[in-house]
Amino acid sequence: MKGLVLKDIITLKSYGKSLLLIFALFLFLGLSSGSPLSGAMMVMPISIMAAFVTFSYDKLSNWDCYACTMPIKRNEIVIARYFVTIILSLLFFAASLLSYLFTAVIMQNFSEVYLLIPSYSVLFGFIMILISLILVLNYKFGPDKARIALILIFILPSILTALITQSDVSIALISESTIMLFCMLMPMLGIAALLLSYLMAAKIYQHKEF
Amino acid sequence: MNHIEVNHINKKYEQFQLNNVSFTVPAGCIVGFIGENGAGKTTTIKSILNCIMIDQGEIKLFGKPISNEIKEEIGVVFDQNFFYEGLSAKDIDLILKNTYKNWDSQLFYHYCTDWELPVNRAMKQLSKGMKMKVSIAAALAHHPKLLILDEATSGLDPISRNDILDIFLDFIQDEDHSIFFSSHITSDLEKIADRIIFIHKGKILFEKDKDELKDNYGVLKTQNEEILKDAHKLRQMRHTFGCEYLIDNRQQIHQAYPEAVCDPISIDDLMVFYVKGDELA
Repeated sequence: MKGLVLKDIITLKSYGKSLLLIFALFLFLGLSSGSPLSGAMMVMPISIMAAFVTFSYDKLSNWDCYACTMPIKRNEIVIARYFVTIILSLLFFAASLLSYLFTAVIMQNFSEVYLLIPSYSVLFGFIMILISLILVLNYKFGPDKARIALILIFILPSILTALITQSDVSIALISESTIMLFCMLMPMLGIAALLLSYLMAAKIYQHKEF
Repeated sequence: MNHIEVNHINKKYEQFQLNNVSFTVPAGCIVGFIGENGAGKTTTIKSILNCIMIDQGEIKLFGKPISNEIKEEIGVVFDQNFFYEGLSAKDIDLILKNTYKNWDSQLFYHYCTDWELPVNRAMKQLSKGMKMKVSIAAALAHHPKLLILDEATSGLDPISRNDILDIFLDFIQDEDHSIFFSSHITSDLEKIADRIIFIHKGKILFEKDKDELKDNYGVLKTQNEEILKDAHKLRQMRHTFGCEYLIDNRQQIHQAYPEAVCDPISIDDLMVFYVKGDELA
């Protein structure tokens, strides 16, 4: 399994410059918006792009067929991919936090400090749910169709949000304690989604033919 | 001992199926697996390697069903490079060192040096022949006993092909080693194979020792009734100018009728007889 993890890391290394460039761009956008927190949080979705990259590279080189000839169990191949994606997300999570601290110090703007824990808690859960979806969709449909499926999945909540906005339901009606509970629950929901996603992906991969 | 035993395997797709495929690859042998494009060579190899699931039948490697321990003993080379084009031979060494228990970095670099492969250069910067040699070095560097090659020489120039065939001949010097080599470049198999298995439309048409094919099989070109009566005819090919027969008692015919035109057969011609010719025996 270590070999598979190394393979993904080495493969992503060549993509590293592009990732850093996007990271800097998002950071710049955040800084120019005047809100260090929103700027830092914008960095997080890059880890999702990285997850897609590993699947695309595997598909390009037909890697899975070769991986099946190596002394590795199929579920280990799936575990390795989940491991790399989670580690990468956690790295971007840390980078995002650091960039918040960095920009807040530079801008001398600490007005959002009280939002730090709830915001990052929701963000962590959201990213984990997103990763869960991306990984399982990639295993099921391959990277090309997974991209389309993900876009479709995102259209649905956007429509729901638009409907809520147009309706009379106001966010202000939701009590602060409910919002806090939601913030605290999100990381747990994210981890649960990740576990469920792994179980599904391992089952899909077990029966896949290359 | 058989390194590969394939017993009555079936695999059905919408437009193609492997139909009751059975054969063996004994230790110390190079077995050539021939057939036209789409005959089922890659499907059979992928079934052996567990890349696809068979519907029926049984496959044993070294007398056992495939497992991680068994996979340690197998080196695999396909016609395409499975490593991401941005990786170098050095990266591949690092990855496989952490995958195979018996990985021998020294041996891998020894092959790279011997075959003049630049270890720091990305795969995309290497020629097709070089990429294939990296794949072969990767397949050999964990000291496998069995090499499974799927069209490993296709698309290569004759010099590179010759180099690669030499590598395989060197590998087979150890009698405990064996090679299962699928190719539609039959001249390569004529050079190195001990045994030939021919698959056509998902069915094994024959499994013979190459020496037997060379010594006994032939193309008989005659209309002489007496010769035709004594010849053990397997197939016939009709042409505008007459008929040619595939026979398996060429030596006998040659001794009995020295004037008869009965040429030894190439693997290419044999394939044509089986695919295009009419069955007689």
